[in-house]
Amino acid sequence: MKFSTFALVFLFATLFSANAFSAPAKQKMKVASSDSKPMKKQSYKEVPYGMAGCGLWSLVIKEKDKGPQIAKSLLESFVMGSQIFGISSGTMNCVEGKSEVAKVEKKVYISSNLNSLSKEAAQGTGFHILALADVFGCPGDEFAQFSQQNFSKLYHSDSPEVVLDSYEAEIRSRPEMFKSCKRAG
Amino acid sequence: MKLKSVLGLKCLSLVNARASIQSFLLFIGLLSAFGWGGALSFASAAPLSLEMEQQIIARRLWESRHWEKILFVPDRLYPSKRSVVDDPRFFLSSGGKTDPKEELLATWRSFFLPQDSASLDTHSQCMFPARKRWILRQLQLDPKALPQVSCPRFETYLGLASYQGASLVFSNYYLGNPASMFGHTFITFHTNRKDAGPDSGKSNMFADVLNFSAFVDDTSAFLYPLKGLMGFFPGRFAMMPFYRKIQEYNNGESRDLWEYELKLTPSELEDAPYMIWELGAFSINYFYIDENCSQLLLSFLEALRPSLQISGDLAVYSIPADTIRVVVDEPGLTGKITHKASSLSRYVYRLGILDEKERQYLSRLIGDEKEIDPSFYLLNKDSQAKVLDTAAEWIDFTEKVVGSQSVQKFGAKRFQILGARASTGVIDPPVEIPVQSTAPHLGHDSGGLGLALLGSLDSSKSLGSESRGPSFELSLRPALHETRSPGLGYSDELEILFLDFLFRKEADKQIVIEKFKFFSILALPRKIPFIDQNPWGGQLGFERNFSFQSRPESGKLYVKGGKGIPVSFSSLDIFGYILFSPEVLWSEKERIMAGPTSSIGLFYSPSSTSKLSLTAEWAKYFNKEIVRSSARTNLTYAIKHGRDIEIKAEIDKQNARKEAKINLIKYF
Repeated sequence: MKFSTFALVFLFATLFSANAFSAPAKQKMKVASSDSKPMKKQSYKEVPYGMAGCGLWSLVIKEKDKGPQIAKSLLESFVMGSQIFGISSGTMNCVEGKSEVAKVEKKVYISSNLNSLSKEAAQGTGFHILALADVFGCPGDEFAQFSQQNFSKLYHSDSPEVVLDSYEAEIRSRPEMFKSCKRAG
Repeated sequence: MKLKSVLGLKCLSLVNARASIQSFLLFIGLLSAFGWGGALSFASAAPLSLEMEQQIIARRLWESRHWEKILFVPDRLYPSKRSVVDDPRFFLSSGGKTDPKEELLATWRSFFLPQDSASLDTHSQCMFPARKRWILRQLQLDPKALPQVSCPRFETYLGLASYQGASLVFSNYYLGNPASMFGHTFITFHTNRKDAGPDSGKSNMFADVLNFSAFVDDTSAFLYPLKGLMGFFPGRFAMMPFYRKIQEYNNGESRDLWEYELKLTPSELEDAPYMIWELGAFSINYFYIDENCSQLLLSFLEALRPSLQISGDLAVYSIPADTIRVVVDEPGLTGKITHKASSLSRYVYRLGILDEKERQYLSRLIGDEKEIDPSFYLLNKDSQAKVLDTAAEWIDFTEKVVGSQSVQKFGAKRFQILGARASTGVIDPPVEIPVQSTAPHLGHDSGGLGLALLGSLDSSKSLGSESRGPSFELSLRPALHETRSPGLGYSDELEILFLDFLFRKEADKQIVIEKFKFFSILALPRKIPFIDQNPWGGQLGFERNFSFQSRPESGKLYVKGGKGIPVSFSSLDIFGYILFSPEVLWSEKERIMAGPTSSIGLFYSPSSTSKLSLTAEWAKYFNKEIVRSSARTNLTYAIKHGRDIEIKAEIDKQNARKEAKINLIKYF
């Protein structure tokens, strides 16, 4: 019976640990409530407003700290050596992140997906390469075929910056392609 | 800011009672008297504030389910208006966490506070746009009726968050990380990309992911579940592009992604960014069992559509796949189901369409061969493309290739392979690559309650010499799935048992705990050509009748874990494992013992809803004085009836005891 008792105690301790350990939080709330003035405990000016730590920036920072290194070049060349994203000022959040993503979307997207893009470019199809067509504002199938036909020119480097520059140059060199790609620079 | 400091009126940001409103009116009067006309818009709004407050009170708007949902009050088994948000800054009143009325009145009053020009977006109208939107709708007020404030950040965000659809996504079970064992769920909001290409939106790659997760510290993997259980990690909603999650899950962790289209109305999709913005900055203590990604996403959906009553379905504990089942079970809430294949699924698919000759070339390509053999180019272009695609997927799975990460071992070869692939000029028609997993909504619920009737197969006992009357076993566990059960909705290659109890009642004896597994994990990857994956497993628990020499009543506390080799008879569609696991145990009589355990399992599934399994285990335990040995075999045929009923017929031999069992399990 000793074992049964142990196991049961263990079960209940585990199952109810969530509630048990949330008790201090409840207590904390009560203390706040017992304040003589029935008012808010902290000015909401202190709140890191709006999705702090979200968007591109959370992923960049997370990649740096741990987890798979997805956007290596992005991290190295865009963020760490640059103030434009406000990393050092600590003001980055979803808004700035998304705005900046819109501006540098091509580079961010290629940095985040380069290995998938090179594979699908070689295959001339795939949802990563079709999404890159979106980024350039190009018709998808035409862009994927163009990527396959020019694979060695486009993907000769494993640097996202070089791949982007190659795309821009190759698209520019083909007037019809350039015309059909609304966001080619 | 400066103005308020000069007048010493910081308390105005803390209004809650009528007295504070009166102070506010006095302040407006003073402002007018001193000629600060900029504040007059607030003065003109003051009567409206009072009038509408009376209406709020008269109509008892705080009793609205929608208001409670905006405050993130989940449905519970007991009456409670307690919000799950733990960050006190989410509440504008001191009792807001538990008192929707107080919070509603405080919110309404806060809308009339002057805006701090130095920190525009900290005004409550900017920080809590979902509340504002709801209150204005209830009072049938135009937004212009409120004092006009400027929320540049929120407005920018809103401009970027135009959604045309949404999906609930399940990332498959993953044993590489304790936090991901039970899978993971998140919502994607599909963006309207106005200036993108004409094929925009097909793959939802640019969808915004709404993800609730714990912000973990550097806790060791062993402590992670414990801290997660106890809510020691703060959780928070965060957003990121879907392509980032695809890289992480499909490629980095090789997990299939299952996407369930959510049939949200345009109005609900319009409300979503307001809710996201409002919740994004605040933390919610992450409890592994209930306040986790699953539960919070259900609460989020309820905030968008308050008529949904889904958070209560998982009120005690919630597991990601349960979220999917709850949402799918809700009439009209889900639509099309799609998936994105993991790197392993992609490889298995590509390998499956190769013929023998092509497989030989694949073997050479991914072997030691540094250059592609010229004879390879004698294959026709389609064959070349198939082999090269398979080789690329093999490299990507083997090296867990993600993002722009350098491919370490096969970098040069991958480039060569892709170059050769591009040269073929072959473009395959679009195909939805089949995945190794099955759709999670087809799986049984995570909790299981079973009742088994036992009969001894020992000829001496069957004559009635010892046992009189029937014996029973009762099994109970909150999670999740065992390998002997049909793998539909889960995987045949995965066992996760958590808090798994087996009670036993023999005739003329007391009911006892026969087995208890605090956890049991078993990963049984199938043998796949050219892939080096080994089965592994671990268990921590208690068990009776653990050796031939022990009395059946005697029990052991044990921990064991080990690795093995996969077994496959592919022509018969049988797969299995051989596992070697060191074990340490403690029993009352034998004290501490240790020894090797070897086990074998073979599985055959005649259909997706039935499974035949044969498992056996042999062990020897030692200490300084004694040796104990154990042997057990089990033959089980399990059949699923509907989603949540399972019947198991077993022949079980555990040391000296031989039994037949018929077991009925209801999942809940």
